[in-house]
Amino acid sequence: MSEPRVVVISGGSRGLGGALARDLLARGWTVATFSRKPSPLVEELQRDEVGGRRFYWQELDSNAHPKVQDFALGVARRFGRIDALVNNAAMVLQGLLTLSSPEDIHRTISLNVESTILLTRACCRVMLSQRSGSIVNVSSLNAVAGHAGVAVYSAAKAALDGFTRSLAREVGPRGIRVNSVAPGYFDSEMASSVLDDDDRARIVRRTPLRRLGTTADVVPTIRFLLSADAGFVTGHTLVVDGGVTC
Amino acid sequence: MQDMRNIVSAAVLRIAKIKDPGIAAVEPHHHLIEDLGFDSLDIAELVSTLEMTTSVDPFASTTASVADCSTVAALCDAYTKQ
Repeated sequence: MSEPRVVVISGGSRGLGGALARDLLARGWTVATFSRKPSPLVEELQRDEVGGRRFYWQELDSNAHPKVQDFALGVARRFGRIDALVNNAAMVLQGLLTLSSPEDIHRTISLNVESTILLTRACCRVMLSQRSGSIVNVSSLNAVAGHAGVAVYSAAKAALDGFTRSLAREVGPRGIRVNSVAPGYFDSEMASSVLDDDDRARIVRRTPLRRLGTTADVVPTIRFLLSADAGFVTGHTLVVDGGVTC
Repeated sequence: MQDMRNIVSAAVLRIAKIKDPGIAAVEPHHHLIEDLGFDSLDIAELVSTLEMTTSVDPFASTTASVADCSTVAALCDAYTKQ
């Protein structure tokens, strides 16, 4: 029997990251993730007989940059490899730019961009030694199309897409693929914090497929990009938005 | 110290053999780029592999640069100084 593939997921304790962790564990992956605090999902997966061997969680703030890098190296030593990385941890800063504080702007860019890049750097170093790996950056519809009130968040997610393309060129010769998934509005804790019922209704009207997305729409897309079925896909941003941007 | 030199030399040889299966050994005087044909990605792979193996990265700070280690000997020196 071959060894399970190992995936690092940032922010895998809840929401999209949590759904992805559960999905990949069910499909035989080993999942390593971190978050600022445990969640019911983390506690459930730690208790599970199989998960106890193939699920590793650490309490860690994404903005603690040196510790995020140490986490990746620790995972590689614990499981012997890192086959995939999903950069999912994110925060939204909602509000007009001119009313946003410099501190909030810095924190949004630091978590969404700098932390992601540093975690990717650490995991990439492991993947380079293996000459294989797959990285998926969770971007956003807001990186592809502009929306008032999320300028800083949009900047951060657009940065991830640029990072995706250039890194794909850089590490492609070593068998490491790098892609982005740009979800549209989907039912999540993050969306719930910024969308009211009127917002949701307006989005549904604008969406060709006439509904909000769900994590069940996004998880398979990430799983596809991590898989051998996407073996010739790299440097790409795959938009999952029900057609909003088409 | 000699163990570290052996580890570093073995890591260099592993990558050199991927590039040229006919190569039998690497010598301390070999230049990574001019003699062994390493490019920047090879050097990045080398540093990453050695970090995984030894938990050492002499180039993590800004005071030392892998670009200063043009030969196998210089690279071994960088790792044995840690």
